[in-house]
Amino acid sequence: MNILKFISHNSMYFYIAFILFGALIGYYEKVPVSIKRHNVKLQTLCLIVLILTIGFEIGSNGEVLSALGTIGLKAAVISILSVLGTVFCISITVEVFSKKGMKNS
Amino acid sequence: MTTAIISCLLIGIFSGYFLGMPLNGLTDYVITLCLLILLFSVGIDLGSNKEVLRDIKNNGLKLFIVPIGTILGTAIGCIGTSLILNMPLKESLAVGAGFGWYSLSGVLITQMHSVELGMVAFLSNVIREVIALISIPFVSKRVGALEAIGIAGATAMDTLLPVIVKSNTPEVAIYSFVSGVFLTLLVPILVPVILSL
Repeated sequence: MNILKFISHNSMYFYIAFILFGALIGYYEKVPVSIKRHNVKLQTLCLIVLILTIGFEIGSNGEVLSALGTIGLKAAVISILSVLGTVFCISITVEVFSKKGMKNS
Repeated sequence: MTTAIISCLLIGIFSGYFLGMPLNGLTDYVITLCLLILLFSVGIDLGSNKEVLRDIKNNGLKLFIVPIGTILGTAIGCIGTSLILNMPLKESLAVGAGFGWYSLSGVLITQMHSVELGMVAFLSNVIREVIALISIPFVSKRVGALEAIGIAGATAMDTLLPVIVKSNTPEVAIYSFVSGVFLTLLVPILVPVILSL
């Protein structure tokens, strides 16, 4: 439990290290066969446990349930503005690139 | 998959609501452990996809127009949100940095920040995926293929790839896939870094 406690308290470094480590052994084909064969199932299982646990935390947290209105509003505004910002930024970049392309040709 | 995830979330919420909090503290360990396994496993998937590196070599830096534009555009949207709703900038940026990968960003933020912001992240990124699903065909036709890929964010490599390819020419699949992989790799890096600022 002490190791888990240490990892939980410094989780960000471990998360970053684990995804990079996974990518490295995936790239160099050093993944153990047993993991490779069950990789999709492993992800689904972890995801189900994670979502159930998060749901449990939300359900047992009275403050969150009473603040659902504000939470929904924040969520909607962030996603709508992010999508608009994304379309805007990519449009500008595409325009700049195609102008450059025309000058070169 | 989305239906399965949302039903799991509802089952969790109901059991949490009716059972109270007898698991106090244990949930933190369960989340950490599962996240480590999940990220490791996702990392393996990303690393095994060598076509991505080949595509980048063949097509050059223009493949990064979409992910870079998505990151900047999302950041602008989050700055706007924090101004309009008077929300701490760090919080809105962390939510936006989920780039549509709602399961991971919701879980990460719940554990590293608060249950409340985690819920915002979960909902916000589900909404982003829904907006993407609805708007990609329209944006592809009226605005452009690359803009449509940006809306999908991290899900441009899997869930929304078929939608993007169907609404455009097959050549854009490379842009979509590379952008999705790059953003997927960035989510578990950017979200914790932003939260620790």
